[in-house]
Amino acid sequence: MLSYIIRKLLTLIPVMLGVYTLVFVVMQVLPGDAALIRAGPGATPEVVENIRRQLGLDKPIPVQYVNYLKDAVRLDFGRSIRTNQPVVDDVKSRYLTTVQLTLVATIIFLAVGLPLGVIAAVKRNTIWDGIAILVSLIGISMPGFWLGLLLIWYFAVRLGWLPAFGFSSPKHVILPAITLASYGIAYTARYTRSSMLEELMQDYVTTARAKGLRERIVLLRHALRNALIPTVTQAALGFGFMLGGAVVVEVVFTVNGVGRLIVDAILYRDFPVVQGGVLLLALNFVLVNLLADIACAYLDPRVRLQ
Amino acid sequence: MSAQLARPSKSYYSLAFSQLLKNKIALAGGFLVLVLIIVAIVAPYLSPYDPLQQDLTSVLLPPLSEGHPMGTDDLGRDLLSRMMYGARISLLVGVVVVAMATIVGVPLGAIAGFYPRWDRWIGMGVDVLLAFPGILLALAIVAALGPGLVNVMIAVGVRSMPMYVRVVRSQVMSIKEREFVNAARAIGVNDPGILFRHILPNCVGPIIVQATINVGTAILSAAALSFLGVGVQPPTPEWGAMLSKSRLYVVIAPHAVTFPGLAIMSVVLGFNLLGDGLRDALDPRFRQ
Repeated sequence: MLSYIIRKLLTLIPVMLGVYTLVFVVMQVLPGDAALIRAGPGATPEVVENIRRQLGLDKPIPVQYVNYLKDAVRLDFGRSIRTNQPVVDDVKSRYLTTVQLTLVATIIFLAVGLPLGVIAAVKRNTIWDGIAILVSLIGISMPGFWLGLLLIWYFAVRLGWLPAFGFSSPKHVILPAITLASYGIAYTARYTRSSMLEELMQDYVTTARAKGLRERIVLLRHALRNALIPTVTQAALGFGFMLGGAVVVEVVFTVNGVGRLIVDAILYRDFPVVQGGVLLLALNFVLVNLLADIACAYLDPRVRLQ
Repeated sequence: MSAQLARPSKSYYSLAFSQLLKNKIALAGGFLVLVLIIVAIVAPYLSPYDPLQQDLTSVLLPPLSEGHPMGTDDLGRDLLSRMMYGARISLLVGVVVVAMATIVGVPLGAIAGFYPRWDRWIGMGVDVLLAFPGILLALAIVAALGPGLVNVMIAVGVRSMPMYVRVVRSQVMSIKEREFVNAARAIGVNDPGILFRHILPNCVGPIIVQATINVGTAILSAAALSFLGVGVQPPTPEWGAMLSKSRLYVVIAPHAVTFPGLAIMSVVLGFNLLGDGLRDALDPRFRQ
């Protein structure tokens, strides 16, 4: 198990190096002179030159690249152009909000998606199966930003039950979390259904039934336990994926998370913040995937030995 | 028995096609896709108004108003006309993104699956591109390139490409072990010949499935970027951008939010259903 974890950790290094490099390249493509943007309109050439030297932008690109890597590994992304605060401070406070939102959404999509998938598999080709398939089709096709607007319109405006904007109380979390979870519900239901169907066809299920176990025990204690292994990976992937997907939901519900910070930063051309936010979310996604792999290997010895 | 034997054997693709025609759900998906294509084609001829023409005397009219079957938006522009032109943009985005992702992704996947020494490097590149969750990569690329239709298509194309590499790679890996590949090698076909003449044609099925579903997801991603304000810019009648603007009026004019959202959902649903149907039809194991 330990050698598996070490092996996985080692594969992480080239991927993260690639991620950092890609972001560096993308930021090099940017039109305009970073020093000029920071200096603002009307700055004298001396001021611009000073800022350029301060930021290290007068050095050759390879040197800039190495310096960038050194800083980025220590999560030092420079200062925001807009607020002049260190980017990492801006991102940190927003990050907690995004994680909270994503965690609640993960709980929702597991609590709804898993049972839906199991019921669909057990009651295959019945009305329940049909409902599950329909829900997952709609969930996969519905744009999150549209679902969010419809929820605001119905639950916040028409019924007035829940607040439409912000993120200041548990009540504020409900609508954005449901919106964010919709894709995960669809995906989990679909995935659980097919992995459960696969397990139900295995010989050990027949054996369990043949020795007279009650159907409920066969389903829950035998089939479901094995069907859940790939679902663990899916849940972790879903969590990581939603950290990125939260961008849209945060904009719809005016939640001050990292996603909205990145979008605002793009509109204000505040590129250190864009860079820091994107790198942080990517790093997170990669780490969550690693944890998912480890959990999967822990639960299923076959994976470890490959 | 003899009559059955005498019947000309059908090709793989005509069998798949007749299988597809039996699948009602896939046909429903195909119908939605067909509607999108037809609307996109006829928009310049049949749309009642110019999609950009403002009329400040009749703003935010509800649906079924006189002369405006879908109502108007906040600048009095005819919503039906804008929806019809929006279909053109969405279809364009879907087709161009899929073309770009296929042209780059398929050869890369083929090389990765065929040559083990390239597999590591290409695989690493794919892992890097897939390390950005959700639309984050597309967002970063649009941030660098600036807003606009072409840049949105490039961004969504880069984000779509890795999936093609993965699909083709795994196909090539399994097919290259088959006997007919050994046979081709035995009669002296060189490596590129084996890969592109013998193996790749057998990967077309999964590529078609991937491409079909990808048209839908590409349209969805592009609409999301426009919704966030970093994609296609107003006054272009793009569905995501239309939704973004109309959300300010959701209370007084819910229809301006309903129609674009419904359109995006139907189109994505259509391509998903069609893609699922194609997957079943092209897989001999599912044939009856």
